[in-house]
Amino acid sequence: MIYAENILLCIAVPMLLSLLFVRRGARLFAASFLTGMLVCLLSAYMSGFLNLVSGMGAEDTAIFISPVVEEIMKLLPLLFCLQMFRTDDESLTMIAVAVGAGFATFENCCYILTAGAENLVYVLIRGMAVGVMHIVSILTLALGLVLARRFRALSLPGVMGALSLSVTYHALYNLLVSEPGIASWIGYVLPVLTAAALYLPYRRLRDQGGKTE
Amino acid sequence: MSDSLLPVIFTGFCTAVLLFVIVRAAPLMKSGKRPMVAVFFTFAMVGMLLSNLYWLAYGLLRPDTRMPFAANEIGEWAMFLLLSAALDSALGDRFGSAGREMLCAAAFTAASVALWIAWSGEWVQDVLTGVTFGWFLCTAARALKLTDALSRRERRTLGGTAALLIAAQAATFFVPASLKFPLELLGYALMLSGMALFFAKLLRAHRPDAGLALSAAGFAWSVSSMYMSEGYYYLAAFASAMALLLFLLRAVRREVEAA
Repeated sequence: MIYAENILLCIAVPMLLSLLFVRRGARLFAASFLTGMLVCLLSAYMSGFLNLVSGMGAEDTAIFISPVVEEIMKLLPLLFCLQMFRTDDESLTMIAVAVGAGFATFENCCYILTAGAENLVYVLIRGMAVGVMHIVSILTLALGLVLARRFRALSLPGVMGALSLSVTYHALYNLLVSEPGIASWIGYVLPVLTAAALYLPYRRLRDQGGKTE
Repeated sequence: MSDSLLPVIFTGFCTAVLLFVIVRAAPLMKSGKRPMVAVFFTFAMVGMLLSNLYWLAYGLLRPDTRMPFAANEIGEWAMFLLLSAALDSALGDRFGSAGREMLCAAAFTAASVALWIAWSGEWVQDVLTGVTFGWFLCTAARALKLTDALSRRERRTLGGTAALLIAAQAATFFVPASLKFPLELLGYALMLSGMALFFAKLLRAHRPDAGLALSAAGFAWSVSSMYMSEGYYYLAAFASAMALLLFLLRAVRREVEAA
C-alpha cells in the first residue's frame, strides 16, 4: 500500500512555491499541472469507491470504470476555465496538455512506487504509453472545444460526444494493455500513433489561430 | 457458418465502411464555410470505429466473458451525440417550430427503451443509450421538418408506422404463442417499409440540406430497426444502415461544399 496523498503533497509543495516566482504562461502551466495531479488523486478515490460498491475487482474496475471516471474528471477543469474565465484558445490547449501531463506523472509516480522501477525498458514504455495517452485524450477534448467555440458550435451534444469519444479511446487502451503479448504492444503504440496523427491538425489550428488574432 | 462468427464478420465489414467514410470525410474539415459539420461527422464516425474496435478486441482477448459494463456502447453514444451536433451545425440559424415532431421522436425513443429493457434486462445502459439515441432522433426529426425533406403527409405516415411498429413489438409480450410470429412479421414489414421510404426520398432529394436530414433520419430508423431485429432482418437493417452512412457522407460533402 502507498500513501498517495503524501506523495502528492511531496511533489506539490515545491511546485506551489515555484508559482510565486514565475509569471503568466509558466504559472498557468504549473498550476494546471498541479490540478492534473489532484484530479488523478480524486479519480483514484472515486474508482476505488466504485470498485468497492460494485465488487468488480481491481482489473475490471481499471478496464471498465476508470476510463469513465478519469475522462470526466479531466474534462471538468477545462470546462471550468472555458465557462468561468473565457480562456483563449492557446491557453486552453496549454491547460489541457498540463492537466494531462500532471495526471500521467502522478499516476506513473504511484505506479512505480507500487511496482518498482528496476526494469528501465518497462518504465520507459509506461512513460511513453500512459504519459502520451492521457495527454492525447485530453488534447483531443480541448481541440474539439476550441474548434466548436471558434465556429460558434459549442453545444451540449458536442461536448458530451467528445467526452464519450475520449472515454472509448481510453477504455480501448486499458483493455489492450490489460492482456500480455501482442495486444499490450498494440496498446502501447496506440497513443504514440494517435499523438502523431493529432500533431498536424493541432499545428494547423494553432497557425490559423495566430493568423486570425 | 457458426453463429459466433457472423457478428465478427458484420463488425469487420462495418469497420471497413467506417474507415472509408472517415478517409473521405476528413479532408472536408478544412474546406467550405461550415467545417464543423464535417468535423462533428468525422469524429462521430471515429466514435463508431472505436466502438467496433473495442468490441472486436474484447471478443479476442476475453472470449466467453460477459462485459460487466459495455464500454463499446459509450462509443455509440459518442456517435449519436456528435451526429446530433453535426445536424445542429448544418441547420445553423434556421428558425421554426418542430415541437410536435420532436415530441413524437421522444415518445418513440421512450417506448423503444422500454422494449430494450424488457428484452435485455439492462436498465442503466439501455436508458443511457436511449437518452443519446433519443437526442439524435429528436434532432433528425427537427431537421426533417425544418428542411421540408418530408411533406406533412409523409411525416404523419412515418409517425403512424413507428407507432404501429411499437404496438406490434409490445404486443408480442402478451399474445398467445400462435400470434407471436405474425406480429413479428408485421413489425419487420413496417421496419422495411420505413427504410424503403427513406431510400426512395433520398434518391429524389436534390437539395443538400434535405439529403442530410433524410440520410440522418434514415440512419436513425435503420439503427433502431437493428436494435429490434434478428437473423436475416438484422442483416437487412445492418445493410441499410451502412448504405445510409454512405448517403450521409455524400450529404455532408454537398452541405459543406454548398455553404
